[in-house]
Amino acid sequence: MNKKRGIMKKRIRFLLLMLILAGCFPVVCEAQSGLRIASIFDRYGKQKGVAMVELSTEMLETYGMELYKSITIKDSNRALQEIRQCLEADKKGAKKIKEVVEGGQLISGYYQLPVRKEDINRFILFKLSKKGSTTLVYIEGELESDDLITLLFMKKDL
Amino acid sequence: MRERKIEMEIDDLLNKYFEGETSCKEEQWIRDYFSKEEVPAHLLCYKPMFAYFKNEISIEQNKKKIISGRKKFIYTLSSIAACAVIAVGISTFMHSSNDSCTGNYVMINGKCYTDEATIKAYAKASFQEVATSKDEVFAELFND
Repeated sequence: MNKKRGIMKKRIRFLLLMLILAGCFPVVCEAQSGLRIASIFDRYGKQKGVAMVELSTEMLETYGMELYKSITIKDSNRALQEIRQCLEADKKGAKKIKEVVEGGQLISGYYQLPVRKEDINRFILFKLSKKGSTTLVYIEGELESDDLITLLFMKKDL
Repeated sequence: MRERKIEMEIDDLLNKYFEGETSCKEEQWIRDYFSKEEVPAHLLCYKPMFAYFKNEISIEQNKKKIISGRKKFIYTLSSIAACAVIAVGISTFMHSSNDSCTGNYVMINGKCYTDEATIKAYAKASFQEVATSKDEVFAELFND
């Protein structure tokens, strides 16, 4: 009888452990997007003083983009440090890195990430404005680095 | 003297056995007794029978062990599968309840907007925000 109870206890413990793991599963899934900046979109995207945009259809086709994701955080003091840490991690292995640093702090950045899918380039753009708001942009698509620079230079509307 | 006593005991137990009145413990004792090398001559005829029983019992026990091992494996596997289903369910539920905003959208102060004009306006604003770094970033870019 006691032996059976012991086995039952073990089974219940095992099931509880599995359920705890199951609870963690969505978090693990979220972190699978491959880029650290994904956590910025997840964490701050729904907060006050934040505007997050996601575009992924024919609205972008003209520009050779498949995905455009941006987040603008008005009062970004709290998020800024985290964003910089994420960029530091994501830029490892980047094909092209252009950064502007003032007083030892990253002010703006342009990163062309390594290709994940064939013919699909990935870019991260970051800018801290003088007013203290931070903008982070992630772009995915067939467009080349030069195309993106042209777009940025032209200040062309999306 | 001691052997004689054991012989008498086994005779009594055998009688009980054939009457079907022995306990499991006594039957185990009989089987152990007949598994010994030396058995009195008048009891030799029972030796193969009890040896057979003993052998069969050990085979059955091994089978049970294998089955319980399999059961444990199936139980573990089904637990993992059940938990995976629950996890996917929770994940799907969380996504469907929190992320009603899908496709093209802009989320402002936690509120989701899906109309094209608003999305475009905010996309344009964020793109221009990173583009304004012309004096800083692009000067660097063309230094390549």
